[in-house]
Amino acid sequence: MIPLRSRRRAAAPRETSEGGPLLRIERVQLGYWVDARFHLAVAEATFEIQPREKVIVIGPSGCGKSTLLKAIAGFIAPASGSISVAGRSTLAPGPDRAIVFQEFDQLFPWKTVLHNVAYPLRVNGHSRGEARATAQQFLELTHLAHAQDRYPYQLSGGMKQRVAIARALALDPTILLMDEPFGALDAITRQRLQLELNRIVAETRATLMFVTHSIEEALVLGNRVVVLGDTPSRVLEIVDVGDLGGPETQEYGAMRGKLRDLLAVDRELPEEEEDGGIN
Amino acid sequence: MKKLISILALAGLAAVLGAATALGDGKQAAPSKLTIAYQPGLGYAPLILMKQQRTIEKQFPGTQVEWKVLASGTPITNGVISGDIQIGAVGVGPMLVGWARGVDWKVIAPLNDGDLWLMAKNPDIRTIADLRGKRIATPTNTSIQAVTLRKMAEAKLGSSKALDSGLLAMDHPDGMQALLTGQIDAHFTSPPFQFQERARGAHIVARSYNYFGAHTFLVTVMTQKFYGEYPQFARAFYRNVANMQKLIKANPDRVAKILSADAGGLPTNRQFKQWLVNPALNWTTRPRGLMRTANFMRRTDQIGKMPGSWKELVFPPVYPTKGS
Amino acid sequence: MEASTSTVAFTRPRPLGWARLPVWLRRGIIGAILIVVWHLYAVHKGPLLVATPWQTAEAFYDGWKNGNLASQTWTTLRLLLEGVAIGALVAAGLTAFATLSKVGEDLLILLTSVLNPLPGVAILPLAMLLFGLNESALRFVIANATIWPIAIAVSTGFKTTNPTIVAVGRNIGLSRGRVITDVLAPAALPYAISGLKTAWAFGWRTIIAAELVFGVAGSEGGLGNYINNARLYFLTPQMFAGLVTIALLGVVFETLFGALERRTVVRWGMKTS
Repeated sequence: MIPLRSRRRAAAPRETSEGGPLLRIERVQLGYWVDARFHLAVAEATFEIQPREKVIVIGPSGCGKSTLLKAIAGFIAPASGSISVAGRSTLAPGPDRAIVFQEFDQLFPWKTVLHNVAYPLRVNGHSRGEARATAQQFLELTHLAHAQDRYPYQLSGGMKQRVAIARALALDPTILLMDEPFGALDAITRQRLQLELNRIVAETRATLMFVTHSIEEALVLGNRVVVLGDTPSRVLEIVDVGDLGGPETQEYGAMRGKLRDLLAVDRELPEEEEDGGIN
Repeated sequence: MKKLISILALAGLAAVLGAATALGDGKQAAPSKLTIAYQPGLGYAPLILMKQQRTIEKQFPGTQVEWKVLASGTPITNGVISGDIQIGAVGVGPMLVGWARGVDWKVIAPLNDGDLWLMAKNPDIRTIADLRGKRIATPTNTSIQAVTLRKMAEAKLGSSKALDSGLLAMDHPDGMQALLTGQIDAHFTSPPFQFQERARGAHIVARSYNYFGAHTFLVTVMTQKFYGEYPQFARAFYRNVANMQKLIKANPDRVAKILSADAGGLPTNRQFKQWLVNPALNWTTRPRGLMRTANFMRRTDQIGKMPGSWKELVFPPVYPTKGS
Repeated sequence: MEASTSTVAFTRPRPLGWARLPVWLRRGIIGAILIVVWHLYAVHKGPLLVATPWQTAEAFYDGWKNGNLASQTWTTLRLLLEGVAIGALVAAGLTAFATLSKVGEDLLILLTSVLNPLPGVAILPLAMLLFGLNESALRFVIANATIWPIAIAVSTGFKTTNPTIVAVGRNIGLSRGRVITDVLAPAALPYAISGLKTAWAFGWRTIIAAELVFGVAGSEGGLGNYINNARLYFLTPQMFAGLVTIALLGVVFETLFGALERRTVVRWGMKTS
């Protein structure tokens, strides 16, 4: 077992003192200004995430799910409502809600793979030796130890995303946020990384909030799925998907159908491509 | 092959014709085209008069004369060497330096003797010794002013290089402005700038006549080659310069009017007349102080060789003046 | 570990003729031809106007041996380095200010559009009025020639920084100030180096031209003054030796910049050109 809680200052809480939810979103409204008008992206969202849960937020394109993630990360302030992480109302971005973006270019090109993972640790108070050791641990976890001295431009897209995941997890965040991280990858790599993510999250016992528009991905990765409707969006339904059988089972197919129906509710959607699942 | 032969034949014919016309030119009296270059300043008055009165054009109707005013002696020198300028007006210093380095030129007509003044505005600067370590502007490093300054340094401070560290090259208008605004401590200049500076509160620290005696200031030069081709024209040019000088002495009012008109009205007639009659400038074609200057420049290594006599530096029309 | 690529021997098609010769030979031949052309031109124009390659080489060698060229070159270089350093600092400050506030950005844009087009030599008289006739005036003029290219380049670099990595920077807990120094600055490095190269070139031209105008007629002075002096005294080989020195220095600095780039932006795969 990898010892993940090394000595560090300003530890991000993994649990709240009362054992309550790690993330609580209450009647949150989100929008943005274009010229002089305010556009509402999310009309109202309310849900919770418990420790060690893997929650997938799914919805049609443009429904505001990424906006919601960014609000939790602290980049946007909610127009109304409250967001609290481990009991604290979050305002500024911070490593307790480490985020993995969709773009490959989220690594610092002037740092090696190892330093990309170690540097955020140094920023948060770890000594050079600690940071290096921790970084190496997480690179081993993501099977990237052999590439630790390479520069990002020398890596493939899938490898870059794994580095980003390693970096985020090395910070031992309260909750790991992921914004369609596999969306830019090809189908094969995407499948592989989904499996890896499952393994990594299990080993690190992380809490995960994952945004996607792919039903298959939601079913593979998640315990619960929060379905958002069209903009300005609301939470349509929250379903448990943790105890489904494999993709060939009837329950799985039923759930897939249900989600598809939910997502097609407000408008005509093209048939969802079957590219996100394990076959 | 046939085409090649006919091309060669045509070329040969053209060459022969060309040579024939060239040979036919032979000892023409005057060049068909002439460029005369001078610098801004009062000392070039004889040339300005010739320009305004179209003297050359009247004497040699077949000659087209182009008059150029250039900012300093350097482009004039380059122009004479490369053949773009046939007659140039420069100071004695650059003339000597060029001559010593093998530039194939000599003086065709000296324009004037000039007493050049070292001006300062600061009342505390009275003698050469006061100038140690101060900023002094001269036209260029080889100008007669710079040379005289070095002579002054040698005479009063023991070494010709004593003031070198403060020397700056500035052309006359810039130097005057710098002196009057206090940016430099002394300006070694020439008429009319030295007159203007004195009128504006500067005083004379030293005069060049006190160190080189009465000496030539500006001269006109041409190449040996040009003289060889057009000796009659050169002689006529010399006579014209001499005549203009006579005119300046005889009728300064009229000359002042012409100069003022040439300068666009500013400075005025009266000012020009005042300057023209000032004894600091002596309008003569008799070269003076050439050997003395050359001697000093040779001693301080500014030129590499000495002329045997002043006659080596001038063309035959100047010989009768019994110069030095 | 990458798989070995030498298991199958691919042969490149052999180029013909000129392209077949090694690089150094091709450059050498062209260089030799140019030198011969130079020599013929010099002979044609005469020794007072153009020096031959051999005369130039001699004058160059003598100039370095007796230290004249060396000390005057150093004077010029020193002034240039000082001016560029000042320029870079001011540019960095202005750019940081522009990044942190809107007022700063407006100020930077305004100053750049007004002051950038001014050639150094044109503002030299103004500089001399402000600072007097000394080296500070020269430093001022060089600084003005270098600030704006660097400021433009760096602020472009900042503006075009991928917003994702800025978001990452904030996410991992960097303060605003540290985002500038730890994220924006390295991200802008390719632009900064390019701006520095431009600034160096402008500064170089400015100092030489200013020296020709400024014209210290005495015993000190830089490379421009050396060339001017040689011109006055008709020492054409020396003048050419001065020009050759400038050209050689240009090559030296090109190489230095190239090395800097190789060690940083090329290594990181960030080279923009």
